[in-house]
Amino acid sequence: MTAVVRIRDLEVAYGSVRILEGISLEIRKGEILALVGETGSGKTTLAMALARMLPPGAAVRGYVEVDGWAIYDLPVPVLRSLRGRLIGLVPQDAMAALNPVLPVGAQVAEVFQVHLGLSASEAWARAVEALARVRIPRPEQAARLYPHQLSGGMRQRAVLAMALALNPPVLIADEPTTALDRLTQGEILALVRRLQAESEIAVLWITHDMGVVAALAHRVAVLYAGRLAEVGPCAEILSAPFHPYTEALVRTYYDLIHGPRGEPLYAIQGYPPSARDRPSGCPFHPRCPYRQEICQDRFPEILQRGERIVACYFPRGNAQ
Amino acid sequence: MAPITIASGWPIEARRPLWGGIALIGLIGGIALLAPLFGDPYHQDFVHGLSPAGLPVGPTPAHPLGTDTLGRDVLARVALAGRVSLSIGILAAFLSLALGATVGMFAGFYGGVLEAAGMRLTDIGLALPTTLAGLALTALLPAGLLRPVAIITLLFWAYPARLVYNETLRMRRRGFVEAAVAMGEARHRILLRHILPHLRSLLLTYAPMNAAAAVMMEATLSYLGAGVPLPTPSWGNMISEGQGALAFAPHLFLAPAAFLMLTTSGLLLIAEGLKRIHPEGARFSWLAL
Amino acid sequence: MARFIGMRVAHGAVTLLGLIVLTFALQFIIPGDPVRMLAPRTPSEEVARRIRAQLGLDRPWWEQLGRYLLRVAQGDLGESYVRRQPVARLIAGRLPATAALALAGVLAEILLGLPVGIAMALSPRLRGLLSGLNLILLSMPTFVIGIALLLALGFGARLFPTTGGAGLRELILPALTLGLAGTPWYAGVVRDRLEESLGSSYVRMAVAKGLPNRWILFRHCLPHVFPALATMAGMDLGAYLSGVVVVEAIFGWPGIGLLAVQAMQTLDRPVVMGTLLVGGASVIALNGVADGLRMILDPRTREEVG
Repeated sequence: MTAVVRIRDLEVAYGSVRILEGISLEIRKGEILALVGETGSGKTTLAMALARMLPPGAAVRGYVEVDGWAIYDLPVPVLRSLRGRLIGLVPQDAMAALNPVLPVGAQVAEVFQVHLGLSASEAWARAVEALARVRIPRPEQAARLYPHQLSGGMRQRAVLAMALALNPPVLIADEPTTALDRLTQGEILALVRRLQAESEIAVLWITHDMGVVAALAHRVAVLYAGRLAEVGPCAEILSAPFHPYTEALVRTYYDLIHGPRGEPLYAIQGYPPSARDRPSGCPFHPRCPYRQEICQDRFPEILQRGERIVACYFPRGNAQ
Repeated sequence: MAPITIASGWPIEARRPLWGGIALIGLIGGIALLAPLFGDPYHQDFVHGLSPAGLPVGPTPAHPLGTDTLGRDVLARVALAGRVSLSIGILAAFLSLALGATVGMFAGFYGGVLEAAGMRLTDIGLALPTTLAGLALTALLPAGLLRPVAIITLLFWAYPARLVYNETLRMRRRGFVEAAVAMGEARHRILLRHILPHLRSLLLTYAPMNAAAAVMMEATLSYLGAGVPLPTPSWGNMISEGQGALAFAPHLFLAPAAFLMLTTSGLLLIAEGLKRIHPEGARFSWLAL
Repeated sequence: MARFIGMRVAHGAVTLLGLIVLTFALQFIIPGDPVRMLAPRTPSEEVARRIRAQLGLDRPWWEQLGRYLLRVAQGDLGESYVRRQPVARLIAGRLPATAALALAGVLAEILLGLPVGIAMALSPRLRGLLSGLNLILLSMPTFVIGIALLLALGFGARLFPTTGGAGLRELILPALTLGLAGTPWYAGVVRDRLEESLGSSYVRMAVAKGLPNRWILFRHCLPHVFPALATMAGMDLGAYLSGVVVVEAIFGWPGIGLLAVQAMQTLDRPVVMGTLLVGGASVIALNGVADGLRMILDPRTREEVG
């Protein structure tokens, strides 16, 4: 499968604070890559870095390529004309993506007007189609509504429609279902899987919910304290994680779902570090049950095992 | 909200406008205070004060800012006018703020009849067209230098009243008033010890703007003949006199206008500086991307 | 929704009622004894008493108040002592001129304030410069702006007439005066709303969608500005319709404000009270309209009221 997104040694910092370090990743055509991490791991920063949408104070190093375009080498006018066509963005909070004083349909239609030069009425018709594609009921009426008149789930669908309007090769979804109830969440996930199967779009799905990962992802990338801990196919990662952090995450999840009632839940000791005080060496070492001397000295080398990579001196399972 | 501290405690962005404003006020205030040093504002100088044709003269060594149509020294008049206009303006500003804040605070805090009555009065006060009402009140009150003070106080009190009322209401709704009452504090003590300090910042920021407005209102009233009566100079009535001589002696308009503007901008700068002492988050635009 | 409108109307009506009572009460303290104004010479006791009876001035105050309220409700604001005409007709006669000035003034405020505000929000360089300009304008009372304009453009550049009149050319300077006086306020509001909008997440999304800046500014950001602008414009319109006394006085614009000043000087009490009433009523009415307009323009508040 061809890689639509290529990231090499990406590093993002604000002044002396490094948010992301040494990120190398690929997202392939037709796959859903789940990016997993706790709050503060840098997930959103990675997503924004991909689209070159970081605020002015950010220092970015490394190489980012989307659909053959070297994102950070492009002059701004070219970048702008590509945005929207290259990457569809679905932020965490749908209300944050929608302008409260404009009807939803207009906000989808304008993408067609600007990028395809369609007239207002043509663009509106396409917008209604786009809303229908994400299974919004009675799309002609829904298009005329304002964001606050829609339910959370509908809003998220509308934003999805906006992101997919121009059939971009890449979709970045930043925890889009976190704020929704379980039922609606399931509907959105099913919708995404169906759309993705239809269009072979490459999806970066950011989440901290292992259940979503299990339901949706083809491959998984685990992010901890700004560095990649592990990357690999979903089934393998879930059944035989290499990195102690991944192992802990998976265990927490299974314990939640399948653990015996009445027993205390398994939880990882400690808290994820803030970007300012990251531990030396491997950032997970303070919380790692298998840590040794060397773990706090230097960040481990990246080991590759077939399709999988892991950054650990003592990976679990049969990764030796 | 950050407490107001002196000098070195002020954030950088606040210092420029603050010092600028204080400097301006100091300058004008100084001139006003030293008014007697500039000569007699009522003395008509027939020797050097009028041109051979009987017209006012421009700046000369004897009269640094020129003379008016009656040969009086403009600098002396403008300085004395400073005393008059500033005293009236500041006094009226203080009274209107005090009155308005009291009404607003009591209405917002005690509620009930006090609130209804206070707010109805405030509504009427806010609905009155200012200058028109000022004119009407002029005929109401006995002439004198205190009349514009009273008029401005009556015209302005409604605005701080509304502001203070809203703020007090907001605090009351937050529940800590009820909490204090539940803990047994007397109501009037709550007012003094909790509400008033909270209002302090609001009032402090509002005061210089109110003062600027009051000075401008005094000028407006005096301009219309409803404020300080001639021959006592006020910046407003000097401008009125100056208007008649615009064609041939514009300095009669420009001098008092300049002094007036320096004063009000000084006050507004102070207001701006005080506002910046409570910094809000910086805003930036995504369009830069 | 209807309930909300009903409440606002009731609220305005109560305020208006209070205003009417206030103007009534003021009559007892304002000089301008009608007897002396209406009688040809110093009247005898008999004549004085007859005039008073005719005007109903010998009745108890609550009866006078009642009659007053009744008359006002019917649109009768009394008769001018000086001109012997119904006050209502006098005011109505001046209304078109005042209305023209009010509209032109608000228009000028918006036309000047909007671009200044936009420029301030978009360009940090211009922001400083325009802030200084705003400060200067703010520190000038309206009448000073008017006279300055008169000096610069009337006498100086001789572009505009300096004597009174009510034509289009005569409208420009007074309207410009009002416009300049209001520019700092409008520009400030525009700038604040715009800055808020520019840093918002939906604008970030719009950028992510690849929309050009100008598009975002006009279609996404400016709609956030309009409700606040409309509110201010409505309030100003109400205030100006009551007669902009100083501007009319400076330029000799024949509106209600000038009428009031003249009435002041001639102690024509009914006219003064009448203008106050009409002025206050217009402020109340237009504030209500302004609120309504804001609700129409901002879909969110429509729901809140619901």
